[in-house]
Amino acid sequence: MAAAGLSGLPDDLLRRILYFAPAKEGASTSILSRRWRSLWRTSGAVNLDSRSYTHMTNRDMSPPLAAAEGPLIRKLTLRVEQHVYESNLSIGSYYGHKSESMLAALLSSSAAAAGGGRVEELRVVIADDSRRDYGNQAELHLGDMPSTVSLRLLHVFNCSTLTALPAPPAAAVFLPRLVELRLQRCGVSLLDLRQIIEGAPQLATLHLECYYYVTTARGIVGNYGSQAGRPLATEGRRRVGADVLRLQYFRYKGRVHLENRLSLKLSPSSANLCRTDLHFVWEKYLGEQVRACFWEFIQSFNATKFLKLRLDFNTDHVAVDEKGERLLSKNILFYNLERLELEVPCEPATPSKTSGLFIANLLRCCPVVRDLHIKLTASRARSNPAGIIQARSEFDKSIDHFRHHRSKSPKILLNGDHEDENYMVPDIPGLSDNSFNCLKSYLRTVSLQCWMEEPNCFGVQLAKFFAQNALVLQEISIDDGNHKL
Amino acid sequence: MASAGSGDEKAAAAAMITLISSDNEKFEVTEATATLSQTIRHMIEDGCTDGGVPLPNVTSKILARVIEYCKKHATAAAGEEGSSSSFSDAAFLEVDRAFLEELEEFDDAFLEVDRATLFDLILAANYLDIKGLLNLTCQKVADSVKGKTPEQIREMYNIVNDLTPEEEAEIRRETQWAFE
Repeated sequence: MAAAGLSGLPDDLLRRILYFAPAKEGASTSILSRRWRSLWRTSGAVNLDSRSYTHMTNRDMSPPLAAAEGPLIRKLTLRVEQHVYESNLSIGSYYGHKSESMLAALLSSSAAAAGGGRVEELRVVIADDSRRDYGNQAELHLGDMPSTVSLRLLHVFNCSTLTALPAPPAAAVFLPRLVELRLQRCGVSLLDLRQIIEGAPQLATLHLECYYYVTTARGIVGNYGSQAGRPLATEGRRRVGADVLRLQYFRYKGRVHLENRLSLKLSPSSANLCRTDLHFVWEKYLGEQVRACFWEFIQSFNATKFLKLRLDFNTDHVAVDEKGERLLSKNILFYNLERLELEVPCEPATPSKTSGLFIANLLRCCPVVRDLHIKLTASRARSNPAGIIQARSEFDKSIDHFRHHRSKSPKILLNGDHEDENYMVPDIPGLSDNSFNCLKSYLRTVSLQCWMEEPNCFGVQLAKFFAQNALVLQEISIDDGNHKL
Repeated sequence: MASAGSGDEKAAAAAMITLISSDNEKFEVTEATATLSQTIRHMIEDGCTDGGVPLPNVTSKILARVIEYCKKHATAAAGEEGSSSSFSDAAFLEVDRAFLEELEEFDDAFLEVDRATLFDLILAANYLDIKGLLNLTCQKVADSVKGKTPEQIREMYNIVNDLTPEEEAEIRRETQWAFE
């Protein structure tokens, strides 16, 4: 057994190990022994990592690329854990001095290009000080280059400027094999984003978590904080649409109300879209437009089978009452949606009146939903043991009612015939006075996650409501952090 | 082996596969678990798994660990199998962040093994063609060279330097950037 060790592995597996190693350490293994001499450069990956250097500069990037066997390179990664704006690691900078862009250095390197472009995975992670909430000076140009043709996966984290330069010809498919695109903490103009997305017709996974979307000219660096007040130039309040026909998974974190929005056009059938995660963050200027923007935004994904929706702000801003019904009457219908997960803030003591309304709005849009998960997040945690006990007993009653209800025949239930006269279900505005298609014949499981401290808190009301109104309900589970059911 | 016997017997009833280690120990696993291995998947497709699958390159000690890994990760891919259920998509999609975190914790704990075992796992993962396990174990070895000098790596892995001083000087010259 001891005789085996690392040297007992065949060359292929040693290359596989070096495929994951940082370039500098990986290349240094060429001196270990005769056998190791050519292993790293034929491993198929160049993983540049600033942690291998005391201080990485642009000059450190080309030797590894030149040393590796170009035609074999499948994976390029760049991980920078130092202050980009202080270093010479740049990248075409804010101050305008022209230097070669990082991405160009990676992709146009003679090494990578020699193989006619076979790089399949490209990851750029700028992990410099994450406490700073303004952009760094990292700039990437992902344009029409021979070496991007083979890309299947592109993941960029924390680059202040991402562009589609050099500009591809209009409607060019310059990323024909790209399947997965993840942009996190990046600044990108909507026009560039559209070019990238539309240049990638095979795109199946799209993850956008950008702090700001630069609106007009390429290369303008906008800061997270100042974006809201940024005067908009020529493009004005323009919306940018992009076709994403094969999308299966879309994940978004950001603001609802973008001055210039990106709307994604899915294919007419959109049979592919399985999962959509939308996380809307709080923004300073939550105006009245937010409501319309919100519903318009989520409407793009109405073919999804699974929707996860998280709001960091009060439902007041998005719930639609009768007066605003026309917003919803524009046929927002999640006709495939089987599972809905909802996470909204809700104060335990003073539940927002609109929470119920908002849930009702959504239920109306989701006629065939089977699984419903609602998580009510409280900003303050309190403890009121007496309240908990009382809430518990109220809750047990509702469970009893649920069990009782199940033993009855559906016919009686449809008539709304309540035998238990002592049992009172308080009305939830918007919910109780409506009927929902999904409750009649689809909704089978409900799970609630909330604080239950007051006897009649919103969570308990919701539990009661579903126990009573969901006619084909099979399972209801409630987790209030103290007990699970 | 405890790890091999505690399966989900209900779901397993339909299709069980017997794996036989080099030291003749038999392991009963579900098809879903076994097919994480492309090698075994092909054997099942070719219908040559009756009477058990002999794995002459894998000891019972290593096979037990491999099965432990596959069981955990088969749950993650569960939705893809048994697509007769209309819930298959939903089940697949349910694999969300909390579960991925749990999976990561499992992987970290799984890798807490001595080096000899780690290399044996690499060989087994390669032979059985289990991509996730191969990447996981190779990454672990790759991580161990981070920040190490060639001398330290040689010592760590008992690598005998058979280069002549001239050859060594030549490589250092060619790849100077890696030794700065």
